[in-house]
Amino acid sequence: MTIENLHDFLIEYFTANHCTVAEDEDGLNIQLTAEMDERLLNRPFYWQYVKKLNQQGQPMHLKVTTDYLKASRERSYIYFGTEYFRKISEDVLAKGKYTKLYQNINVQQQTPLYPWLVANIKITLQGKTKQEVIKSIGLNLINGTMVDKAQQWLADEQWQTTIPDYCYLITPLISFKHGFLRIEQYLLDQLQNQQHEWAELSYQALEEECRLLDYFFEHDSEQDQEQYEKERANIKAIYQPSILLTVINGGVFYLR
Amino acid sequence: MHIELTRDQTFIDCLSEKLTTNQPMADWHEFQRTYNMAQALLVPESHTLKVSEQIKHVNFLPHQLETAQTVLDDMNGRAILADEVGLGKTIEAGLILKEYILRGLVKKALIIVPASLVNQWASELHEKFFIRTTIARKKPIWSNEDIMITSIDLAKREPHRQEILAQHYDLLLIDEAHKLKNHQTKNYQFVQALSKKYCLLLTATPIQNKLTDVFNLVTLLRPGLLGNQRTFLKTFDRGSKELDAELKRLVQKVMVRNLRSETSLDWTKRHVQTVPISFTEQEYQFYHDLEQSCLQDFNTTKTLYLREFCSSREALYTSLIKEQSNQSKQLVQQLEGLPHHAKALKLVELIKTINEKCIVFTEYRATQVYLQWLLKEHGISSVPFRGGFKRGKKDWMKQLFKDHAQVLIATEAGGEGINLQFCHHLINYDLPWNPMRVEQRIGRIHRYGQQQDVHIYNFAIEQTIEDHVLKLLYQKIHLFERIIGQLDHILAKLDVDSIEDEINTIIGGSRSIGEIKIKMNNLAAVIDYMQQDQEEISEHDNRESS
Repeated sequence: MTIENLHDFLIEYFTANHCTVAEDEDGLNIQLTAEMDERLLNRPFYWQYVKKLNQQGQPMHLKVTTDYLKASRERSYIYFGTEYFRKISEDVLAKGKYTKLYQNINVQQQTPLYPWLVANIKITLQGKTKQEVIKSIGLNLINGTMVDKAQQWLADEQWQTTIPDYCYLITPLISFKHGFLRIEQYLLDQLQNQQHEWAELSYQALEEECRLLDYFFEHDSEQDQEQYEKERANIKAIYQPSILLTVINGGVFYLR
Repeated sequence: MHIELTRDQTFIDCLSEKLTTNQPMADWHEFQRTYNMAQALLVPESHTLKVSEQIKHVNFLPHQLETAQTVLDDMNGRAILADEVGLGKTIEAGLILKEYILRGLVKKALIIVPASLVNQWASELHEKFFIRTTIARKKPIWSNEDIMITSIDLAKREPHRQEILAQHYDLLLIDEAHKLKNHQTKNYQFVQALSKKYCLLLTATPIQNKLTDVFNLVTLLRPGLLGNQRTFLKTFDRGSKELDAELKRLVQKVMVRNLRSETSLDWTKRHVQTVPISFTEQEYQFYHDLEQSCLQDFNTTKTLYLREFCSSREALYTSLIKEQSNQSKQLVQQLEGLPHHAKALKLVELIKTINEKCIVFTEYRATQVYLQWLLKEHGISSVPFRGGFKRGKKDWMKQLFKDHAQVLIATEAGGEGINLQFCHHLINYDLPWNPMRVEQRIGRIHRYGQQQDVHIYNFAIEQTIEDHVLKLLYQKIHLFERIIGQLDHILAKLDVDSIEDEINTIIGGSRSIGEIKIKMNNLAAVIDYMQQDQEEISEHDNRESS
């Protein structure tokens, strides 16, 4: 797990979202902004009325703790698996999905910055078991160089949202769309070359279950075709092996 | 082999769009945070539970986590959870449901529980697992809600039935699933017709009586695993040891059953004692008259009358007045002249000596009302509890009992699902003749979370059928000490549908008390013999497997 300290994560998250966060021995006391109130607290009617009346609205003061024993009616418990955390995670996932960033460098003469397309892609292998892994791939949009573990590589540098002084951008030779397809193809090739024991086991189980089902219905004329189809669909939903690619986030990075 | 592939079709178009129109996008910290969050939410490798990493405020017991793991890994989410009462089936089901939600495998679920437990399920899932559910009330919208809790009576009624059948559920959970043992009932067919991916059936009494019950439950989960109805009975109804072992092996593919004796938990003890009671001379005289009378040719009805009289005058009265014969009128007259019931007086005495909270179970509603009145006369506060109560009233009664009253008087229907660990005295004012029901009663207080030893008092009036049955069930076959699953198996082998019916047959078919006694002793002896036999087999099995 990469969020090692939830308490610290929350301080960072709320602060980054312009909330004032104060710590005390019981947990965190957070003054929400209107935007965060609307996003995290469940009071749509309040905000609907406020907007209708063209008012400012009074965002709530939120008390939270990651320590269950310190939670109370006034102080909400936040932990992985709670409703609050679910909402926060959705918010975080949505806010950092697309980006365009420039390497933060300090130069005195004209310096070119090269475009890289970076995509963090979740690969889900699903059958009777489910496994997930995130691949982070970067592609140089000029010469087609590809790097693995791009996120770690990027994390070593400083990034800013505006072009640094004296720098100019090289226009991509590979279009974003094509670049993305290359990254995708690279991952699919990798998958193609792997042994998929999980899929074989799932498929065997699928066939086995279908055989039992066939046997059951073959000898039982009372049961109708519709029911048979339903059961078959149920079985397929559990066992059919599938691979799913989902982009967590990605964007264009300009670097020297 | 075919592997389905789904690619992300929208991401790159959205990104391109944002780039060309120069929309504001995430800074580095936001981008990094999203990546970290995605890592944190990642489904772990199999053989680990995400839920135990993400839920820290509940101490799950080892057998509960193991059960969840087994259901996920080995049974692929279609299982019968059949722990003995009080080991936490609800928690196991919650663990599995939450794990599937965290893994992104379940979004839409339907939870069917007895009406009296709807609230309890909702609050337990919320408090322990932060699972938000919707309780189906007046006009539930089945297509809108992710996780819905309902009673089967509501669900199978139109227009709900049609709407529910049109949904696709990722998970279906059914509590008290032993009620689905008969494949010809509407309930069974409804559940069978539901479109469901994963399915959990919860029951403490998976094999109540018949072999076909097992077949029906297993078939709901994995049609064909036990063959079909005809081939199943042909194969397994022979009663040979090899076939039994084969059946057991197949059933174990879909069933997890934890027993108290196998868990490493420190269970508090059960102190069981029989409280013998004598009728007054006048009462014995009446009992005798009732026995001799030929009210109806129905022998079971007569047995019923005798049982009722052993409970209270009121219980018998409510039955007698329904009959229009001269004889019944005469009996009613006699009945009216009787003093307070000897058993009820004994109850008052016992409750006073215990001087702590007690639960009293009775089979009859008339007795319940009478007892409440009598206790009040003696300055003892009590609350009634019935299956027919509305949800809110049940919760309220439980709270009243906890905070204000000394005694809770429950009829049978109140036996399922309510947790009363704060109490540790249970009085079986009259005993059910079905051993499972006794176990369910005791399970209300003797469950995980009970800090003290529990005391169980069995009332029986000497020289009556009550006495005979108590001796048979609870002394001769040592019901309280033995594993109930074994008893079921034996009954199935003996081709006895249920102990209750068997006893009724014995009593109905006998002309004298002596005959009843002899027949019951015979039954007890056979059961006892087979039980020892069974224990030897299972010991043998253990030795082989170890």
